[in-house]
Amino acid sequence: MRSATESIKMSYPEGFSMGTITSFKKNYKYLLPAIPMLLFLIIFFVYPSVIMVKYSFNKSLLYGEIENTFTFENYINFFTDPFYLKVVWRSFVLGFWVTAITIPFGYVLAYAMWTSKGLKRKLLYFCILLPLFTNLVIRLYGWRILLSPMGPINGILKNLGFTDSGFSMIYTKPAVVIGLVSECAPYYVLILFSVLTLVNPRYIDAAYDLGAGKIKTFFQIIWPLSLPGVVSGGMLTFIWSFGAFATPTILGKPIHWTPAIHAERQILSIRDWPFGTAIGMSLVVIVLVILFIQSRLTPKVHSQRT
Amino acid sequence: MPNFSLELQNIGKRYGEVVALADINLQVKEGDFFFLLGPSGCGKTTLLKIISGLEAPTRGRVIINGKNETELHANKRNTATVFQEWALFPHMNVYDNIAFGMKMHKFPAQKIKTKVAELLELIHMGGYHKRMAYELSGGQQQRVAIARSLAIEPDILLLDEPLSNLDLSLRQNMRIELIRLHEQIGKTFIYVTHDQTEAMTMGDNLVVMQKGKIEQVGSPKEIYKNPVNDYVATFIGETNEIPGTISELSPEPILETPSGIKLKVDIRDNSLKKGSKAVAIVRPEHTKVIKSDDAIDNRFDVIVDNVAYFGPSLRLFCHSANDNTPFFVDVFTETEMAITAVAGSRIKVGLEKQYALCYGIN
Ligand SMILES: Nc1ncnc2c1ncn2[C@@H]1O[C@H](COP(=O)(O)OP(=O)(O)OP(=O)(O)O)[C@@H](O)[C@H]1O
Ligand SMILES: [Mg+2]
Repeated sequence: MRSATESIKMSYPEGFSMGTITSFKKNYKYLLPAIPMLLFLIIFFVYPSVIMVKYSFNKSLLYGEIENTFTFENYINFFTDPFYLKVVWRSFVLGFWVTAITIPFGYVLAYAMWTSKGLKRKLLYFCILLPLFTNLVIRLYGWRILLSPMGPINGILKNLGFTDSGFSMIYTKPAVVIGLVSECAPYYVLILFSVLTLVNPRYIDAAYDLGAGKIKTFFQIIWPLSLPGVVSGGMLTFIWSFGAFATPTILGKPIHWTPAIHAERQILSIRDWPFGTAIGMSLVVIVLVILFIQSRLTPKVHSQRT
Repeated sequence: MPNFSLELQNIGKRYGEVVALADINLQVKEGDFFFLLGPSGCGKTTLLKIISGLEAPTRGRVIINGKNETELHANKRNTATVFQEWALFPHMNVYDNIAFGMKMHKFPAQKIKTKVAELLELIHMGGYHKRMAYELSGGQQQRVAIARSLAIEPDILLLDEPLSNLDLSLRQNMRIELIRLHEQIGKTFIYVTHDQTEAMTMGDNLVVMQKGKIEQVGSPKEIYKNPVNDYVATFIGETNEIPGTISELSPEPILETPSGIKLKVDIRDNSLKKGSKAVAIVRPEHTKVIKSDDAIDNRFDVIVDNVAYFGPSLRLFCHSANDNTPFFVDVFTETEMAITAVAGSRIKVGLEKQYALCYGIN
């Protein structure tokens, strides 16, 4: 049996012991240019986060004052209240749908970009990046117009005689899903595309050469080799939708609200800072747990060096 | 009409403006082991891709076993390629890599199993079926790549510089194994290399390529002895090149060097006329260091610059006494000549005219 201290030492990389202060100093020198950014992050990110953590363990009094105690009450309230559990569950389902749609839809786009050359590829690339040049809220208002009962889609449907009064597409779950898909797809496509470009075309040649048709080559070679991109892009999409804020607010009804929106409400409208921050922290923890599970399940990235 | 395993007729291939192949004609009999030899970028890989169907030729026809398969896609052709970088599927283990082609060809499951075991035995890698590609050494990956290609029982096996990434001793072993393999299964092999020693020592059939064209087809001996042009002569084996002008054609062809030495030569190029620029190609083993009274067609003086020791022989790097044309001669270590030749000494070399192969310069 190894002693505990020994195994702890073992888990550090070589050279990371207190005895190597000189080398630490040496490494430190290269960090100098990073100091302004580091300070910025500490002041504007770490410090507020620490305050949030602190608040989440405090108690809220009747008029929004914060009592400086230590309690788990906020967390217990959040994780035992059927209402909030339902909110979390709905967000999960929302994230699932968005991811389930983004994965195949984005794959087609990334694949098209990967297989095209020259001007066509540049054009596709541009089209995929284009939405990112526009502010999210403005894009969402665009969707509102598009999906509204008097919007162009209903206009066409009315003209074609499918409906008289127009379908109510806005403020529905599909509307939220569509909004989120359009929001996440560019990132997913870019991640997947970069993974696809790593696939050595020789493997595809080899598969054809050994008698595989186009479909078999795709499912047996290209798909498994691009899976790491699908997983990390899909994960990003899921976490993004799970914590979405603007899209469910603008395209959905309160029933579609995510925990993030409830946190904001608690803080800004109800003025219950401790509970609001507890929701926020819980979200962080849930996301970390999901990421941990994902890291365990992710297929191994195979070395594709030639 | 003889039955060819592979026939290439007027194959041409362009990539935009780049002409990768120009008018390739080649006939390969079943069971032949053909070596494609040429410098980097001369179109060897492109030619293999056209044979395997991975690239379509811009013009010409590919005929495999008497059938015109020019239009046939790679997965329908019964050829298999061992790629320049092997390209084992990184997400599959050795077993699945070898079985892949057979699954695609819908071999029965039992047959796949026995065949993989058989092939692993053949490449001396029994027991490796669970390993992933990246867990293998270069030589093992290469053998698996060969096994994977053999698994589909191809009529033609195409090997694209398969040994170029291996160290020398492994390369020599693999060469012997490949020859053994070829004898054992008796299929047509086409082997691409830019290593002339490899091609010379392994093959009976050599194809020398340059800039997308076939320069010469023949056995190593034939090509070494009777190269069709100065390019092939200098590419195969080592040579001295003596440039000059043809000063006379009959009764005896003479090449005159810029410094005025007159060499009796063997004209190998019918287009040569009196006055045309030409080059005499001389192999080092065909020149002799002579004493002044020996009878020989050509003799001239050179000055030794450098002596390199090769074990059984010495190589004397010299330059002509009249001008600075470099010239090298091989002499046996045990001879009197070898002992007296030191850097700076002046020696006489002699050359029979049939060994001074004369080609035009274009
Ligand atoms: N996809 C392509 N697009 C454009 N040009 C190409 C392409 N593939 C090959 N070429 C060109 O065709 C010529 C022949 O290439 P090829 O790969 O057949 O050479 P090679 O003889 O196999 O060389 P090496 O010994 O270095 O492998 C080269 O000039 C190359 O630049
Ligand atoms: Mg090549």
